[in-house]
Amino acid sequence: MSGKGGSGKTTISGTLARLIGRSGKRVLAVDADSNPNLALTLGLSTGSYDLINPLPHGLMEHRRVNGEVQVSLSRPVEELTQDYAVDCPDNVSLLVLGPPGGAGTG
Amino acid sequence: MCSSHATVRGLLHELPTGDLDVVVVDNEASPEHLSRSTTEAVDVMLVVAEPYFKSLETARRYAGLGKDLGIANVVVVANKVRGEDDLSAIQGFCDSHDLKLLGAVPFDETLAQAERSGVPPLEHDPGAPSVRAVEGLVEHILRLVAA
Ligand SMILES: Nc1ncnc2c1ncn2[C@@H]1O[C@H](COP(=O)(O)OP(=O)(O)O)[C@@H](O)[C@H]1O
Ligand SMILES: [Mg+2]
Repeated sequence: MSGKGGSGKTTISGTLARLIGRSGKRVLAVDADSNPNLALTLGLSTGSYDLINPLPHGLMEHRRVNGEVQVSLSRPVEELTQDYAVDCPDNVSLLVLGPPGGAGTG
Repeated sequence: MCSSHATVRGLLHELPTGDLDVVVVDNEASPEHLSRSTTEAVDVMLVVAEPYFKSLETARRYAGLGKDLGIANVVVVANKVRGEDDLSAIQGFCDSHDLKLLGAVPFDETLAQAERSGVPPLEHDPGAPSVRAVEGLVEHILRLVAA
């Protein structure tokens, strides 16, 4: 989901994720904005905000393959979602990417 | 700048996975930080555009970047549409720039009410025009994902 700031990305992606979840699919919603605020639209109760554990940047591995930098995760995605994603209503779980500028960032 | 982007890149590269059916990413405004080798798993990029020129121009640029990244389905979703004139302006813009308009979400003042009371749109009014419109997008999007 892309589009100018304020255009409605979060409103639409959050509502869309939940409606897809209600159709019976399992949905992972990833908040990749540097100012994350998808949780509210997803219906995560404010009491559960403490459970949000942003994915650290240190989990990225950079490798150079044929002169091109390839980025991959140092742990399997399943493990990461298990450890870092928070369950929300409607079959959706939320993964927030940690704010940039923390230790060990590139 | 590159740090959160690197994480997105890694994730997009390895998703979707195991028991997840759909991954929805609420991204930074622009897709310019994504790289070609890591958008292979992306089925659809939705570009949200409001019915005024600057927003449409930005959407056109982002859509172009998405296409350059090799994303198969780059589509525009119009938002905050206030009537037929808005809709036909957006449709015209999309047509003349070879963009696919997937759907339109009307301007909906219940969203401001929802925000004031700190309640998500779906809880505030599941029958609101904007929610109904997003509902209408689901089927289109799932069809693109499955294809
Ligand atoms: N269809 C709509 N009608 C009226 N207001 C809307 C609509 N979609 C989004 N908004 C409002 O626009 C503002 C920005 O929306 P948001 O989803 O946060 O945008 P973004 O994530 O692209 O920055 C919010 O106040 C939201 O309630
Ligand atoms: Mg947003």
